[in-house]
Amino acid sequence: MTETINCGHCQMLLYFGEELKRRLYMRAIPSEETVLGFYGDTCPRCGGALSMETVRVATEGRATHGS
Amino acid sequence: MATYGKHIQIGEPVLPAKGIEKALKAAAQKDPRILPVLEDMGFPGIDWWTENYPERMVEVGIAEQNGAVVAAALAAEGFVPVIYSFLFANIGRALNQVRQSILVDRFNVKFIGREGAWGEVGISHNTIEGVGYSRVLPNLVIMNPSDVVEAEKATEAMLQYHGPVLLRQESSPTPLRVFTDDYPFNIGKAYWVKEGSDATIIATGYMLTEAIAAIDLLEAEGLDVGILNMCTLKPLDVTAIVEASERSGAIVTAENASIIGGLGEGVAAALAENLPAPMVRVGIEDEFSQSGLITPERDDLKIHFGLRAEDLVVSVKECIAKKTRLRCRD
Repeated sequence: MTETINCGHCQMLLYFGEELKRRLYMRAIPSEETVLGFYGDTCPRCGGALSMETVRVATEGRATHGS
Repeated sequence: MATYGKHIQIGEPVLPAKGIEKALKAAAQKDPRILPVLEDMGFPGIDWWTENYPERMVEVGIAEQNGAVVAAALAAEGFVPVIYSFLFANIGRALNQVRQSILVDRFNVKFIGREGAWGEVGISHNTIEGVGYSRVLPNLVIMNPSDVVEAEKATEAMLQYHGPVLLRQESSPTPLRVFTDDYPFNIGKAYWVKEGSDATIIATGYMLTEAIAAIDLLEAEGLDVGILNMCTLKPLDVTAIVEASERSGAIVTAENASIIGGLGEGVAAALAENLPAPMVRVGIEDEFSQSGLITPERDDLKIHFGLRAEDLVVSVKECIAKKTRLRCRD
């Protein structure tokens, strides 16, 4: 499963990689908020404020039983 | 005469390395955290750094595994290391260290990897497998710019993005300048260079130059063929690939790399799972690259591997024939 986080204003890709909540160990990035913190909570492309309300989080992967 | 998108202005050949150099120079002045990790290499695009910031770089020599681990440690301390080398070296020779020390913890390390299917550097350095073995690695963004403008914008975007990125810098031949300065580049977004209804060429890197040349030949035969430029090879712009299938129903991929593991296979998987369409993959067909003579008049390897505009024309017509057979069957 992969996860992407894009700026809701300009669609800049802020995160691409493993789905954060699926990492069971060695979690270098514990949450989406940590990712936004890497950018100082400001989009480097458009200058828009980054928060869980202003970004688009999407996961991609095959549906499984119970998902 | 073909009608191209609003951000297209086809010009003379310009080395993409000039765009990489321009973006790195601007970023180096603004952000002291950025520094190159070199592996006994000098290249157009990075030589100026060693002259201007000799105290702000690491040279590990021919020790690529060490380079990966040094870069991971620098990233852990807040630096933004850029490992600039041949792609067979900075990722290929250090594959385990890249996986274990950089990608598992998703450290903010950048790779600029020089690679291409032609040139005079010999079979060891003239490699075409790098995208294939890199696309399988989680957490890695992969880009392969098509001209000098896209190379500059992709380098800027790579340095803005927080996370591991591979920027593939293709070797000769030199691609045409294709994009205008206000080209709206975004990681993960493909760009419609030209729309077309009979087929779509999805091109990456230098092959965009050959695709543009092919369009004129195809138009002379009455064929309306589109071009979708795919700079980001991971994550692929699946939405644009499906749109290409809807618009034309016939897809030809074009890459200066192995057709295994690269753009062609990625597009094939996206189509198969979303909106299947007949395809032809143009690239290197499961063989090693080799040395070849390149002169302004002749490029031996481009001919050898069938990567000229004329070869693309053959593949586009083959793909349209497949589409016609499929529709007759229905």
